[in-house]
Amino acid sequence: MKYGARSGRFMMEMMLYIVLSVFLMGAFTRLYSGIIVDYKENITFLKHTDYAYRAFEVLKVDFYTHTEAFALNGDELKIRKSDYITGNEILLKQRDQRLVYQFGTTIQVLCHDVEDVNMRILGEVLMIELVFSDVTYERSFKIGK
Amino acid sequence: MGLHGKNLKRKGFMNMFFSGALMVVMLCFLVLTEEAADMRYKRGELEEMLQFDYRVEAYYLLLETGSLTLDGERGYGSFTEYFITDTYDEKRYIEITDCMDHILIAGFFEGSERVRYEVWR
Repeated sequence: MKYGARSGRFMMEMMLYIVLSVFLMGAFTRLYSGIIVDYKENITFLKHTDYAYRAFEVLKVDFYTHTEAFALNGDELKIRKSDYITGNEILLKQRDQRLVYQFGTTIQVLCHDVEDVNMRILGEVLMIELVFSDVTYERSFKIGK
Repeated sequence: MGLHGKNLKRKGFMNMFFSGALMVVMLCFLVLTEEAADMRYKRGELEEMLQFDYRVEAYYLLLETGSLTLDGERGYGSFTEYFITDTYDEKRYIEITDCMDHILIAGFFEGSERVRYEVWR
């Protein structure tokens, strides 16, 4: 009689431990996956910010040196540089998920992972908006003479 | 048998040990979630800072090229579109002031001045 009672208590304890450890494991899995997701999101954010920043800096340098004229056609920008520059007809546009320069048939990639590129002109200022999956950045450039 | 062994065999010791371990785990939980929330906030702030800088620069370029003109003595740059309004948000605003010989563009972010441009006539 006594033996049976003790055995039941032992089983009860074992079951409690099993339930508790399953609960703890679930909680840890949730925490771990949360950390991984956060980490990935942060990395993506930093990557996209860096891409946009770099692309804008390159564009700034290119827009402010040896340029003659700009023409915006939809979301494609035609840049005409001085005659003494080789490949002075440049097209800035979006191609798939990249922002590229096109010199004739040659392509130079400026920015990866970009989902949408919007350009517009306000007076003598050109605004370029880069839309990524998580962030959007817009910068303006002076294009008037 | 030493004192240690006796202590281990004392009734309820293991339960106390496990409760302590559980508390440590909970603490770790708390710290990690706090850290994650902090990081998320910081990320948003970084993004807003860069967007803010670009916007102040945009107003500088617009005023410098004359694409946008300032009517009156003082105006505030809008954050939705590119125009000058009279209203502003305490938290972050772009103040455009007409000083006699130049236009001053100052960006205020979270209560302190962050960027400043001057357009000389």
